[in-house]
Amino acid sequence: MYALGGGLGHTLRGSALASALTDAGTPARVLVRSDRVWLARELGADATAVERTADPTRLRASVESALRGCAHLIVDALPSGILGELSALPRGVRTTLLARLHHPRALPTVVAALGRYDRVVDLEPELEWLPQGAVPLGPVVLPSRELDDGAPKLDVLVIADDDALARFGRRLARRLLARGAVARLWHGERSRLDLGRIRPRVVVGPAGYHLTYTARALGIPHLAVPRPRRFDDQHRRARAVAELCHDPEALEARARELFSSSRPGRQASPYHHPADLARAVLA
Amino acid sequence: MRCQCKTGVLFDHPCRDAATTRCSACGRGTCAVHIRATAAGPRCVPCLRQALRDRQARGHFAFLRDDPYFYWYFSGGNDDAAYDEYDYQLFDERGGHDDAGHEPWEGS
Repeated sequence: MYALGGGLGHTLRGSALASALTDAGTPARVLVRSDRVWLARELGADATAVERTADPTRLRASVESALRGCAHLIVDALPSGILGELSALPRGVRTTLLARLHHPRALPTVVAALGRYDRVVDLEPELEWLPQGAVPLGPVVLPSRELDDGAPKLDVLVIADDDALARFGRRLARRLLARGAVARLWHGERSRLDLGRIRPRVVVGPAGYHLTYTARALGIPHLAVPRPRRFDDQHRRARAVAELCHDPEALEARARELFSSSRPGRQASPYHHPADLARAVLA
Repeated sequence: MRCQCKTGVLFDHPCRDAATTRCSACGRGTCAVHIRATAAGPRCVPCLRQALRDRQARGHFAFLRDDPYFYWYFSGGNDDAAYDEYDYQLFDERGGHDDAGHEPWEGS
């Protein structure tokens, strides 16, 4: 399971899938960047660390070494890899691509690489560029670590995966705290963010796949601040699945409106567990 | 030895990182994420949180004001500060960044 990438979502989803495959009787290993091994292990996955390097030759050598003896390669979102290390897939190995939204800028490269995969599984609704025969699965969300009583424990949780968003998040959280709300910033924590367990009334954060679909699955309103990504298209996902605000004040006002409302949050939406994804991959 | 601190936004989880420093107040072994340099020597996050419960003492720890592990102890006072241009830039279509400059590992 190739799960190298920038956000935590690659590691979370890849590790959960590796665990589900192993549980289903197909021993699986996840390839993650070396600073995310702790998270893969927390999810019970057999993880191989790949050093984060800007040198394509070194990265290709690390990945090829890690793929030795592999019978089935599953790739999360980046069909050619981060630095092109998957541009030549290993021979005699079954290959599956887990497809998600891509920025229009990256799409030509992605589409050109699709034909090299034996199977493509669609994890996001309506990816119009997928080949005929792609398996339409839909959002995959990790289950919460512990069952929850469902009562919100926070008014607003601000999630930041970069310093610019963390800076805004601190200011937003402070302003909300000063108005009596219970607000927290999640940034750089060394533990898995389990949204189902924390269960805030409102979540503010980027519009990456993992956060957006987890919030939707739990019925938690998600005020998105899409972040620029080389491959991912967070703006499009935010428009389709989350809620966009035009400026910081509008977002703060909307957050206050949402957490002080007596109405329940939005309706939870259907989703799949990693075990469903494991079945789709093995079918 | 493993770091003896807990981690998490609302719920405590054991930190699994290797301890690299000892807290000068309580002596627990602590990883690089859960230690802060203070005038009194290295202090672990739990000891600093304990100290910050005393409102009078917060002035001594103003350097923790923007630290995600502590910022909420400093709410009040100047917290109506208006959003600035950097906050507004986050809401531009490009998110205040030049996409082409992204390091590949972070841009996926």
